[in-house]
Amino acid sequence: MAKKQSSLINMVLTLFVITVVAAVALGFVYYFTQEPIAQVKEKKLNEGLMKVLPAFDHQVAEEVEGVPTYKAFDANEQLVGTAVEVVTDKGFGGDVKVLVGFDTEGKIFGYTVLEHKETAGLGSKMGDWFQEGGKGNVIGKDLSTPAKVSKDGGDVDAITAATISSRAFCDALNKAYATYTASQSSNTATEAQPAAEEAKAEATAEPTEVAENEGGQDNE
Amino acid sequence: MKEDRTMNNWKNFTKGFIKENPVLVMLLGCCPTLGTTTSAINGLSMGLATTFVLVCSNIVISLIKNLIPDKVRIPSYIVVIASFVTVIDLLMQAYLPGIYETLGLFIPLIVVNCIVLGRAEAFASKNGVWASCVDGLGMGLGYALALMILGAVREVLGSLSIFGWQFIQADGILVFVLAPGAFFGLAYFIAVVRRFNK
Repeated sequence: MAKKQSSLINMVLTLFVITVVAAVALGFVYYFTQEPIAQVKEKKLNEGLMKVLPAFDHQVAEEVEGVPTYKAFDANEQLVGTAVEVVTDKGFGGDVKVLVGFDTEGKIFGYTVLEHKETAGLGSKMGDWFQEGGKGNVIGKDLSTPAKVSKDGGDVDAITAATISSRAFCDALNKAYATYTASQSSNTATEAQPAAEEAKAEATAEPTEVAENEGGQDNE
Repeated sequence: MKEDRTMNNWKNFTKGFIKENPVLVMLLGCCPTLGTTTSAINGLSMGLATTFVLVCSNIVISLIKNLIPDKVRIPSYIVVIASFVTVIDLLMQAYLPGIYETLGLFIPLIVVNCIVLGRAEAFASKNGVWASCVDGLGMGLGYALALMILGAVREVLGSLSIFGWQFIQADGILVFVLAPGAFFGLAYFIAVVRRFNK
């Protein structure tokens, strides 16, 4: 078959057909991968929540000042902790997304780094460094005095050679705490004027049920 | 005649490994090479993702090469390549979330990897389907091999581990995990391959 002439109509038609075929094909792939992708994301979120919160039965997702917040309850509808998914732009390589869990007293129960672009081998250590047993342990910390690295006069030990990443991490903690406080005060507001707040909460929050935590045995 | 053909296919397949290796000889696709080879497994997955795109796009482009007017061939190739990249992007997100996270940004960037467009323009647009498929596979695997070796070297020197298995509990020579290490590693790698390619 001879090659097609590069006439205007030929070119327009070819590009049109190719893009249409590509779009349809991609639509199909998107359709079939949509569910697995959503499942992966949900699984990741649940695994994260189990890591940062005490054993819980179900959680309610809501947005506090635009920040995703997850309140965890036990089987008797008692609040056991609150997790805040917070993003800071102070990282060395870009945004750092951290999920921070607070217990009912507002102390850090756990954290997990969801996304980061920090330098491998340096800033990327933040996933372990600040955990219990790590050198810069922040677990159990009360953030009513903001977290700061020791270089800035705080009491959080920064990752060796990654002060900027550590600062970003502290910033994430402080932001998370601010959101946590806001979520607590909105709670008291709910008690004060239940009707109005409930309607508002229904409008903004999308409660999602989490599968049974299997007695919280995965909770480490 | 038949034998000649198999010989030719074999040649098309093997040339991507050493003789015309995309990274080490043609110096194509250096951006993902430098960016993703922080560990052997990252390099290998990046190479295999590129191989998938390369084989698929080579097949499709060799099939439709006569239907595309010359003047719009580059945009047409790019659309084909971009579609396959999006496919692998979605598939990895769904079924290999762990690797997808580490490779992240570099998967969509396969679209502008010059190896893929280069093979489309230099080979698939002039050859039959089977030859193009073999060429894509050879080039892709050659690329994957180079990335894996470079990744392994950087991982061993930088984090004292191989394929994620830590053989000494200590910090390695950090610079090899960072960007400068990628340049050092690639430079020595190319020098060695050139020495033996002569």
